[in-house]
Amino acid sequence: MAFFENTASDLGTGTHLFATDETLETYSSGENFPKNGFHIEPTAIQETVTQTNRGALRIAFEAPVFPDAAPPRPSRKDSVDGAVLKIGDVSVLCEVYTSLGEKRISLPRPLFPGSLWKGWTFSMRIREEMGYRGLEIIFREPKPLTIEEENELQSLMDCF
Amino acid sequence: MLSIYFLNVRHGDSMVIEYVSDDGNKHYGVIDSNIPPGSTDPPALDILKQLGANRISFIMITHPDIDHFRGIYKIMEYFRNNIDSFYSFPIGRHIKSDAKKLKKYAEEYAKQIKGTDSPLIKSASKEFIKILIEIKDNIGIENWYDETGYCNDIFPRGFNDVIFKILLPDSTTKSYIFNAIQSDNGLIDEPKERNNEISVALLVEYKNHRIILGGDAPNKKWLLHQNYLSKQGKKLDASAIKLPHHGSKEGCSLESLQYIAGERAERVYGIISANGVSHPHFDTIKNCQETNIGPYCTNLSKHCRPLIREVYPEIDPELSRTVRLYEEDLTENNIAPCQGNITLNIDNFIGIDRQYENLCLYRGEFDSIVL
Repeated sequence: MAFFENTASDLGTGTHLFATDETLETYSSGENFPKNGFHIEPTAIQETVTQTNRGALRIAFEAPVFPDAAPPRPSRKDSVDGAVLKIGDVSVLCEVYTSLGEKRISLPRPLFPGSLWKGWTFSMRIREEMGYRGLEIIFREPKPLTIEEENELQSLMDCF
Repeated sequence: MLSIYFLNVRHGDSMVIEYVSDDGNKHYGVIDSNIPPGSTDPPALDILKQLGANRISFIMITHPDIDHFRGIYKIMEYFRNNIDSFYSFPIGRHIKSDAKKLKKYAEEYAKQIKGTDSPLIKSASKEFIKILIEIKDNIGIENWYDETGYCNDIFPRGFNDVIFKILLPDSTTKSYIFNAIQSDNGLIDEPKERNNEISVALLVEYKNHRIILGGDAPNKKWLLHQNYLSKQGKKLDASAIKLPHHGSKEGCSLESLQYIAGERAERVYGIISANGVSHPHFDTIKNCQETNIGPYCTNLSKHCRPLIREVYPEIDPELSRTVRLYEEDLTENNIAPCQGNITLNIDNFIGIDRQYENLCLYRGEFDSIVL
């Protein structure tokens, strides 16, 4: 399954999509997803993921995700017919996209008090379930620093 | 003689300025830096070594985006105790001169290190903290300048016959960082566009040639600048421009480029420092044509490849390296240099040297090779 992984701030500063899943070599950034008939335009992500900390992620579709007909608007929990956000154990459905062009996915404000989207790792993949296709976006909270990283950072901060 | 080296760092800016005074002494400045994927050292450091620099008059970071400051620490480390001054975006005098506030500023970057899994953000944030330490301990806070203003002279050591003017940011941005780190959420919660709003844009003037180094300054700031300068009855009228924001439409609207380029009869050199895939925007290329700016892109724009085949379908694919470039699909992972590293040489005349002298449709150079 084609799979993107990136970090919001990476994209915002214009760096490259990087893969952690070996299948990504086949579907590198900017290429078509033949089976699903659409294309995630990294440029658009790049320009807009900087806004994730304001609660939005924008993705450009060059072809409809659902080319035949507009699917029914999904309910919050029982459908994957659209974009699904998974945040930790919480799934949130996004808007459904049926047309060409740039679309804006409204992210909910961070569900965890004090957390911000910026810096979180997110991955996207096409998900098929119950005969429906959707774009799944999964956010992962950053891992804590290792002891070595903590020590190095502390030694830098001790210089002030 | 003044030379400005625009280094191909993929997406990002990296410039080295070399000034040879009449008595033959050489002086160097560094404006921004980035490290392209696959490299460990910043290209700016490599070229400074090649040029034989042993002292740097100034280092400038136009704004605190990763693609503008990566590698600056390595340059500072290499030239430790041989750097005269440091220039930056506005940071607020309250931060520079107050040890506690400077530490608080560094803590914002420590927060970023703790708040991400991205190796890039971790290493860049760590580098920024090291840069602050280097300024504090070696360059000296008293040699750190963060001027704003629409036409504010700065005086890097040794560049006696070269005029440097800070054009942007305007003074309204002066307290942005100070206010952000004083707030509950801190700097990390600020919209990233704010970094571009505080970006330094610089005018470099030598022997009646004006070169605008546009940083990542956005259109609205250029319009403010136009309002200011028009009241003085003045124009920018650049001979050469490092286009703002890597050729993004956010910094290179038709109005912005018309203002910066002015109405010179001669074509203006327009350097676009970008990876060619995420930037430049195609509107920018078209705006260059409208404003008599000849685009010189470090990397081939993804917009050029299909267009060139459309305009010149019978071009011989073996004819030149340029044409072969256009045969390739361009992606973030497959970037093709177009002009590569670019050098502006300014004396009585202004000239441009390029690592690769690829022809450009938008400079009208393809006509000569069409079969």
